[in-house]
Amino acid sequence: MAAGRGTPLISVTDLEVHFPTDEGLVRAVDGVSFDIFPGRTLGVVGESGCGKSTVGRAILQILDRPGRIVNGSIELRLDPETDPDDAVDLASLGPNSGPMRAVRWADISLIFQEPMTSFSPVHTIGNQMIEAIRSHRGYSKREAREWAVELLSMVGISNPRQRIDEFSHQLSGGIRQRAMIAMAISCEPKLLIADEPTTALDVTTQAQILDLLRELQESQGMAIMLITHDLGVIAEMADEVLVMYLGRGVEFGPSDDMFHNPKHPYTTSLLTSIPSIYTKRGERMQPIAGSIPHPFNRPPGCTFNPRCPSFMPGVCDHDPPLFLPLEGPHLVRCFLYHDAQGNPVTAEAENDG
Amino acid sequence: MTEAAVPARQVEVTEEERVFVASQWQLMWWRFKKHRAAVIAAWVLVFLYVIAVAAEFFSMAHPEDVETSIGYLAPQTIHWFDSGFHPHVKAVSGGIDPESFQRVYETDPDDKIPVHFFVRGFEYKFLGFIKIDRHLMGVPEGYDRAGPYVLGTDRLGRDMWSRLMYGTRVSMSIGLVGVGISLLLGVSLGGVSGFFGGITDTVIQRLIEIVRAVPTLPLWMALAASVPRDWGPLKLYFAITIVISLFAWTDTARVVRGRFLAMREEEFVMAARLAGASTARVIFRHMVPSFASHIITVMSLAIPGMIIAETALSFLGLGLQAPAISYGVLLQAAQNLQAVALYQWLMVPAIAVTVAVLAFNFMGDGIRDAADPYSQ
Amino acid sequence: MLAFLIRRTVLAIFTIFSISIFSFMIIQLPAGDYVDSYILRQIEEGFGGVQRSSAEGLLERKEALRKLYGLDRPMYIQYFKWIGRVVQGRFGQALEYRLPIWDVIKDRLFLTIILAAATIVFTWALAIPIGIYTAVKQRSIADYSFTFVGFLGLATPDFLLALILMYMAFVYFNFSVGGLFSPEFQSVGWSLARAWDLFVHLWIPALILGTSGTAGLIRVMRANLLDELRKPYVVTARAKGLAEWRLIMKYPVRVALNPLVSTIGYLLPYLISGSIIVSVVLSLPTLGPVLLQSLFTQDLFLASSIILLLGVMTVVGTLLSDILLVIIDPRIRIS
Ligand SMILES: Nc1ncnc2c1ncn2[C@@H]1O[C@H](COP(=O)(O)OP(=O)(O)OP(=O)(O)O)[C@@H](O)[C@H]1O
Ligand SMILES: [Mg+2]
Repeated sequence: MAAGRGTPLISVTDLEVHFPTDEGLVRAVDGVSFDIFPGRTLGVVGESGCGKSTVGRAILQILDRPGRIVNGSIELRLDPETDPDDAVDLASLGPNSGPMRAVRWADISLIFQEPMTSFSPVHTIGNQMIEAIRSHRGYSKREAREWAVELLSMVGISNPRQRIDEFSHQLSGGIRQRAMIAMAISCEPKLLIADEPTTALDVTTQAQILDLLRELQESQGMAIMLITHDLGVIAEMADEVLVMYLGRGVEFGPSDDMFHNPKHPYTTSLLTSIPSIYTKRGERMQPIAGSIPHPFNRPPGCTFNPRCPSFMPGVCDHDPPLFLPLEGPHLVRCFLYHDAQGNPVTAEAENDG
Repeated sequence: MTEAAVPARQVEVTEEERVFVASQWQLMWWRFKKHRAAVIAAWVLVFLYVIAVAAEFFSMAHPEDVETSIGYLAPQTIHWFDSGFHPHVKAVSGGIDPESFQRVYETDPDDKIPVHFFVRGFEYKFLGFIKIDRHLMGVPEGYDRAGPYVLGTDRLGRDMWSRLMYGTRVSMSIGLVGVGISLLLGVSLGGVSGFFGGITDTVIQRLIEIVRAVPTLPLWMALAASVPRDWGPLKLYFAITIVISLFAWTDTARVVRGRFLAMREEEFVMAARLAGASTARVIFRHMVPSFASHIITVMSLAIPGMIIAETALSFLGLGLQAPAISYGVLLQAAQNLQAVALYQWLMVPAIAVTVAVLAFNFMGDGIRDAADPYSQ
Repeated sequence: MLAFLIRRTVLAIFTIFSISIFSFMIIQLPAGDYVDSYILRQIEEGFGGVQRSSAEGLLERKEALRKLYGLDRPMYIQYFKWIGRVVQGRFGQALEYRLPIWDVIKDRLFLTIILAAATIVFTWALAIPIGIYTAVKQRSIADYSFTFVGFLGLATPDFLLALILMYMAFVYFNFSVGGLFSPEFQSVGWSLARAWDLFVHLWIPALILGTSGTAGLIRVMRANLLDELRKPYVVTARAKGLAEWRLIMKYPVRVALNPLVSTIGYLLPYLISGSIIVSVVLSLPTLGPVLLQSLFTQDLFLASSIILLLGVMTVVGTLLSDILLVIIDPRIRIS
C-alpha cells in the first residue's frame, strides 16, 4: 500500500476462526485484516483471549481441534517483489494437504512462549532440528547436522556440537528459546511468527532474545509477526501494529502513527493505561476499566461499547462497525470514523462524539 | 480485645469457605447432570439400594424355605392377563426322571395360581423395627406353594428371586460399609501423613508403597481364611467386611495425603491456624470439607472393587458362608459347570454383580469428571 | 540413575522382607494350626464311626506331631528357621502332599510366570493401538464403542468372565475350557509339541485375565495421549510440516508411552491376584489352586511359601519395569 513497504508478503482479509465446543460456538477470531511486509515486523497486541495466538496458528492452519477457518483469505506471495500476482490462498488449502505442509517451516515458521514445552522432552534438540531441515531440504543426515550446528552457533549458543545432542530440559530457558529460534530459521523462512517469545523469560534474557530476533531479521531479511502483551516490546520492535479486541482487529497501521496518533478508543485506553508510551521492557499491559465480556455473551454492535469512553447510545450498540481505511495505510473499526454503511464521518461529528 | 478479634476472624474464614464450598457443589451437580450415563447409573444404584433396604418386601418367598420337591425349578413366567388383569402362574408338578436322574417338571395349563400385589406372607421387621407381613407380590394365602418362582429355584428348592433380594442387601451394604472403613483408614493414615509430613510421612508412604507393590489378594485370602468359621453371621459379616476394606485404603490414603500436602500451605488453613484452631479442628472443619469431592470420587470408584472382592472371596469359600446370602454365596452354586449348563438361572447373580459394578463405575466416572473436569 | 536403581533395589528387598513377615504372620492367625485341622479331618473322615477312645488317642498324638513339625516353638523362632531355610532355597515339606514344597510348586510357579507374561503381552498388543486410535479420533463412533466395551471389561470381574466363557464353551461347543494343556500333554516332559500345546491353551486365560487390564490401559493411554496431543511440541512438529500420523507416532505417542512402562509394575499385583481366582475357576495348574487348598488345610509353610513367591515375582517384575522406564525416559535418566 504505502510507498517504501512494497507489496505485502501476506495479506489476511476478514479472517474468521470458530471453535464449535460443547458449551457453544467460540468465535475466537471474528474478522481480522492486516498485511505483513517482507523484512518488516508486525506487532499484534490485545488483552488475553482476544485471539492473537489463534490468528498466528490460523496462518499455518495448525489450529487446535475443533478450530476451523470459516471465512476470509490468507494470501501468501512467495515473491512479492518481482511477481506480486503470484499468490496462494492458504485458507483454501486443506490443513493436512501436501501444499500446506510444504509451506510450513519452509516459508512460515513459528516459535512459542514456552520454550520448555515446544521441544519434545524425549528427543534431542538435534534430532528435532535435523528432522525439520530434512523434511524441507534434500540434505543428507550429515549435511543437516552440520547446518544445525551452524544455526546453533548463529543464534549465539556456545559449544553447539555438544548442545545439539542434549535434551531440552538440560538447557536453560534462554538457551532453549535460542535453540527454538535456530530451529525456526533452519529453512530460512520468509515469515517468523513469534507468539510471546519472551514472556516466560527473565528481563535480561528477554532483551537478548529480542536483540537476536532483530539481528536475524536484518541478516536473513525475514518478516516477523510478533505477538505480545508488552507494548514496550511493540514500540521497540514493530513497524506495523495490529490491535485486537475480542477476536476483531480494531486498528491496524504503521507503528509510529499508532503510538502518536491512536484512533480507536481501545488503542487510546491501552496506551494511557501504562505510564509512558516508550515504557521499559517487561512492563505488562494494565487492565482497562470494565471486564472482558463472556465469549458466549458478546454485546451487540461494537463489542467494546460497554467499556468505551466515547460510547454513542443507539449507534455503537446497534450494528457492528466496519474495519475501514482512514488515512492511507491506517485501518480502524469505530463509529467515530465511519457510519454503519462505511461512509466517513465528518469532522464536526467526530468532535461531537 | 484479642478475644473479640479472634472469633471475628474465624467467622470470616468459615463464611468465605462456605460460599466457596457451596458454589463448588453446585458446579459439580450441574456438571454431573450433563453426564447422562452417570445419571442413569445413579438411578440404577438408587434402585439397588432400595432393594437392599426393603429386601423382605420385594421377596416373594422366605429365602430359607426349603422345598426339595421343587429343586432346580425353571423360572416361571407370570401371565398378567386372563380375561382381565389377573396375574397368575401355571402350577407345576414333577419328579426325578428315572433314566437321566434329572428333574423334570410339567406345567398344568389349567391349574392357575393367582399372583397378587401386597399379599400377606412371612412376617418381618421393615427397617428393623416395623413388624409387617406384606410383600410386593406373591401367592395369596390358601395356596400351598409360595412363589411365584420368577427366577427359578436352587437345588434345595429355595426361591432364587428372594435369595437375590437378600443377596443384594448383603453385597451392596458390604460395599458401603467396607468403603466406610477403608475411608477411615485412608483418611487417618493419609491425613496424618500429609499433615505432619517428615518421618511420619515417610514411614506411612513406605507402607503404602509396599502394600501397592504386592499382590494383596493372597494376603487377604489368608486373612479371610483365618476368620473362625464358627463365628455367627453378623460377626463373620463384619470380619469379612474389614478384610475387604483392606483392598482399597491405599488409594484413599494417597489422594488424601496429596490434598493435605497441597492445602497445608493454603490461605484459609493458615488463617484458621493463626486464629488458634486446634489441629483436629483444622483438619476436620477446614481441610476435609474442601476435598470432600475428591474423597467421594475415590470412594465411588472403590465400592465396585469391594463388591467384586466380596463376591470373589465368598465364591472361593473364604468369605461369607451359608446361611448368609450374598452374590458370592449364591454364585458358589455356579461353580458346578454341569449344574449351570442345565440350570442357567443359577448364573443370574453374576448379572446382578456386573450391573452393580458397572453402575458404580459409570457414576464414579461422572462424579470424577464433575469434580475435576480437567482430569481424565 | 545409579542412585535411583539402588534406591529401588533396596526398597524391593525391604518389600520382600515385609511380605515374608506378613505372610508368615497371617497364617498364624487362624485359631488352629495344621495339626488341629489334620486331626479334625482324621476324626471326621477316617475315624468317623470309631469309638471316642481312638479319637482321644489321636488328640494325644497331636503334641507329638506339633513337636515334629516345630509348631510348638515361639513364632519368631519358627519364622527365622523358616526364612533361613528359604534363603538357601529349601522351602520344607508340603504337609498335605508329603512332598518337598519346591517340587509341588516349581512347575506351577513357572506356569504362573508364563501366564502373567502372556497376559501383559496380550494387554499391550491390544490396548496401545486402540488407545492411540481412540485418542486421535476422539469423539468418533469407534471412540465411543471402545469406551463402552472397555467399561464392560473393567466392570466384569475376571472370574465371572471365566465362568461365563466356560459355560458358553461347554453349552454351545461342548468343549471344556480349562487347564493349560491337552490331556495327552498333561504330565509328560517338556517338548516342542508340549510348548505349542501350552501356547494354544494360553490365550483364553490370558484373554480373561487381561480384559480389565486392557480396558484400563486403553483408558490410560487414551488420556495420556489426549494430554500430550495438546502440548506445544506437537504443534511445533505440525508447524514443521510433518505428516500427521508420522508426527503423532514419533512425538506424543512416544511421550505418552513412557509412563505406561511403569504401569507394568502396577499391573503385576493385580494380574497375580486375578490369576489366582481365574486359575481356580479354570483349574489351571498355576499357584492359585494350591494356595487356596493350602489355606483350607492351613498348611502354614506351603501357603506362606506361595505368598512369598508371588510377592517376590511381583516385586522383581516391578523392578524390571522401573529399570526399563529409566532406559527409555531421558528425563529420569539425567535427573
Ligand atoms: N482449542 C480451543 N477450544 C476452544 N476455544 C479455544 C481454543 N483455543 C482457543 N480458544 C478460544 O479462542 C479465544 C482466543 O484464544 P487465543 O489463545 O488466540 O487468545 P490470545 O489472544 O492468544 O490470548 P493470550 O494472550 O492469553 O495468549 C479464547 O477465547 C479461547 O477461549
Ligand atoms: Mg496466546
